[in-house]
Amino acid sequence: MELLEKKVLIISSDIDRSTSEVLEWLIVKKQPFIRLNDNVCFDLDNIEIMQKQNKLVLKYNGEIIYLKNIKSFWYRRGSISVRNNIPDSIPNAVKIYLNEECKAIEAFIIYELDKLAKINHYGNSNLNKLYQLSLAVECGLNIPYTAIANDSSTVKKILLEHKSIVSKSIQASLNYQTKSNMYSLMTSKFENCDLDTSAANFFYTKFQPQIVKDFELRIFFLNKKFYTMAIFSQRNKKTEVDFRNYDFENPNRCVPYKLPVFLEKKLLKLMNKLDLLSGSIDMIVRGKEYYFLEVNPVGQFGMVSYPCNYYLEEKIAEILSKNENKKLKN
Amino acid sequence: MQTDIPFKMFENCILVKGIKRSTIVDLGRRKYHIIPNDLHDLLTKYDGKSIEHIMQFYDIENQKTISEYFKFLFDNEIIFHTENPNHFPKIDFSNWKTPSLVYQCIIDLKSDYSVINEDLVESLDNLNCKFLQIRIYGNIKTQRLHDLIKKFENSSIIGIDVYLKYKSIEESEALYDLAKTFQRVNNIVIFDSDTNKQLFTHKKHNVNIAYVKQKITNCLSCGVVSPEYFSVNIQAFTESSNFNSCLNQKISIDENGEIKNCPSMKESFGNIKNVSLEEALDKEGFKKYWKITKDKIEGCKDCEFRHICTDCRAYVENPDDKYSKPLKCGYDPHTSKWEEWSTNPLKQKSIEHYGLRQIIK
Repeated sequence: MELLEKKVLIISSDIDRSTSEVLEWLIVKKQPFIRLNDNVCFDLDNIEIMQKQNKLVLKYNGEIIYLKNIKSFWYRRGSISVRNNIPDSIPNAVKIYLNEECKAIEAFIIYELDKLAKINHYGNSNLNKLYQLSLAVECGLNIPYTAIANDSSTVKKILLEHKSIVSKSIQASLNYQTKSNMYSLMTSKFENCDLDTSAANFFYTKFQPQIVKDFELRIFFLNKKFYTMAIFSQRNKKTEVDFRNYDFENPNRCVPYKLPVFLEKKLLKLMNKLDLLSGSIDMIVRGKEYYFLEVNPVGQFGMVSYPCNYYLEEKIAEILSKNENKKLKN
Repeated sequence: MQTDIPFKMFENCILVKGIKRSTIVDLGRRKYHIIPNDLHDLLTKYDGKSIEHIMQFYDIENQKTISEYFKFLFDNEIIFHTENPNHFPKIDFSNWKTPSLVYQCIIDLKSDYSVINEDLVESLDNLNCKFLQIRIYGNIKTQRLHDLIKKFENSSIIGIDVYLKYKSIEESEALYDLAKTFQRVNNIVIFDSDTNKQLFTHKKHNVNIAYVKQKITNCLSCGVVSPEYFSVNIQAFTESSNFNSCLNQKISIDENGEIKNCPSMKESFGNIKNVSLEEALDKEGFKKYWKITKDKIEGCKDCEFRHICTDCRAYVENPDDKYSKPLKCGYDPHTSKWEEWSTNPLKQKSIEHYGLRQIIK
């Protein structure tokens, strides 16, 4: 009988350095792995759904991947799809039909892979941020007042009530490059003068009061533990609204932080409700108040790991290479 | 500054006490401040208390000094106010881990460039070596250098520094091309030059080509301890707290092909012609200096710079003592003065011992 060592399957992107750092630890642990990059498109070899066990065999660039030989799955970046080769010449209705058939296969592949997920699920990797806020409240967390508006009269009312507000995107992020500039959509202050220059109606935008914070928290949740870093972004004009406007000359203070137990309990409850095994949680702190902003299920952890000496890359590798196959949650 | 609210040091600002004065090593901003030992003791004792609380123990004259201290600490964002100092735990420096068996490799080359071949690259891959320093003491053609560096494409190496002798290479566009072609190349240093001059720098590709006046004859020129080699960052600090800041996870091939911890050291663990890097690394004694931290070294253990400084075990003041002070360090923590090491009368015997006379003008 052939003795096969089970592999770790990682779906990521070519430029993701954190993935590479985790993989180096897998090599140290002598754990074989398959890393696929940048919107992975599988060829399907075989699916059999049977009484005892499901059989799923995929092909990627000619290499055959047997699901039964995968011990754990880590979704990090990109999309997963199945090659369909639907000819252009066929009638539209048939195209739509074939596409739907393909989607069903994709969903099944993702379902099977997610069963092996130990860090992130593909299925809930893009959690609705509005839904997150509303669940956070259910878990007893504080959130900033949040409004979605697309007309200046509503915003005027919000401004009047909250004095100082910020605008941010509702869910997605926007980065694009022109010949001369790189544009990234950031959280920004929305002021009265912005009302004068903006049209009466504009695209749906999320508004929240600007909370003058003592500092913000970036929390990486992993294996039921919280690895927290405090970011002192408030003291710097450049970073007070969005710390991603990095000040490289005088970087924000980033130091380890210990969450109070009551807050850990609430966050754990939220992670369970969202069915997340890990994630990057953003919070802000003012006095004794903690405000939950959002959780990114596939968020960065290198920026927390490095300044706090948390060695998260190694911890992730350890989880991925663990042999027992028991489920971590529930 | 509010005197009634407790203050706390940012935990990435580390107090390091020397015999005469101390430093605050600011790992976040990558710089250090020299402070009096009085301030070190004050911060150690009262971190997490309020300024008001401290002041009650001092008379007016001292209070004035303490106020100045605190202005400096707040101006440099070394401390902040918080009602909950216990929410800010210390950074754990007790563990230094890398997924590499060897982190840095130095290769000294004189004329025989065949040392850099496929087997060597494979060995470095097996060790997951990340950084490579190639020091070339003889003449080389740009094309040849190009071929050598090309061998590290697809290897575990992520950064390459090349040291070249002035006029040993045709100075041409080819050097820029080399730096731009191979993203792994970080620095090209042309030593023995008549000026210090930046020749080419490319921020995006993280490349630097520079002329330096520094004289480098051979590996005897290495091991100088000086503030310009200080490195202030969390990785170096963590490593230095647990391991030797020069020799840990380092492997070298000297100009004769001898595999050593560093080219300047005496002990060889075999020649690259018959022994692989992996085999040499496993030999008894290869790692014997790796755990010698600065806290164990004579002189260094009293020094306020000990955790940001480099070390050298190849040239020490007393060659019979592996914990002896680096010979090429001119700093005396007891007087807080930097002096020229090579003219220090107490060092002359060791200078003779190592045959260093030839590199001292």
